Amino acid sequence: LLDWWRGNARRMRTMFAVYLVFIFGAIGVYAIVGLEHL
Amino acid sequence: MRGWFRDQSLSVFFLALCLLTIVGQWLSGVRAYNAEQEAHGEPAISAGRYLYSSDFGGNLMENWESEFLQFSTFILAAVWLVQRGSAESKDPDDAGLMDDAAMKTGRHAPNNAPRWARIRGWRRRVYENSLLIVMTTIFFFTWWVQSLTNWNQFNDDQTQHHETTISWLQYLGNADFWQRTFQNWQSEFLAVGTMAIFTVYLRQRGSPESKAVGDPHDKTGSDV
Repeated sequence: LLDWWRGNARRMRTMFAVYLVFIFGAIGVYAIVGLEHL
Repeated sequence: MRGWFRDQSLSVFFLALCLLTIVGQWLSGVRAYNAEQEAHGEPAISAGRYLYSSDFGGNLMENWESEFLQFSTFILAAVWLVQRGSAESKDPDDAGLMDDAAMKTGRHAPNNAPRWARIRGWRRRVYENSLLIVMTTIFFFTWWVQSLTNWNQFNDDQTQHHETTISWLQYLGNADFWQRTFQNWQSEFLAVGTMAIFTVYLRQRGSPESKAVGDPHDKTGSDV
């Protein structure tokens, strides 16, 4: 599987995930806002 | 915990700044929006409703897409294009995708290399381009959402001025969409170009975005 998710890189994975969730979460929310009028 | 924070201080600091400035954009945005509503004799909306509006979302996505475009183009262009003497460039002789030894892939990968850097085939292809893939994906998604939310804003404006509304596809060809797009893009390209050339002659002690203070002007790339 994705080995950068384990081992020595474990310490950094929280912030990596937080950024991804934040970015794609916002994209998702405003896609719904935008699509409401489509 | 202190050790954890120190190790992540750059990403935590910038996320905190981002969230704080989004709150600033939200609170000032709702006031500006409601002032506009009042001027048109329309009802004001709550701060909560504004957070979930095309006006706020459009302004947010409009800026996001240009940032991710900036990084995507810089990541890609810097593979082949160089700026001699720049902290942001690699050596002119290294222009291109570079070989496995330099990229530490395949049999040149060290023992602690990510597994997808060691193996051959599609997984290596994906992993060796993963930064560009993710940044570009975010760019295209945010640009798409910008087009939707700006289109809603545009039609709201049209309605307020008793003019005809247009479809999303029509909006994609409208000057309003491209004016908003280009005004964001131009600043990003200027910023990247500026970093590329300014770091030839200018320094910031301690920053990896700069060469070492005593590095000669014609030294390309940063070891800081």
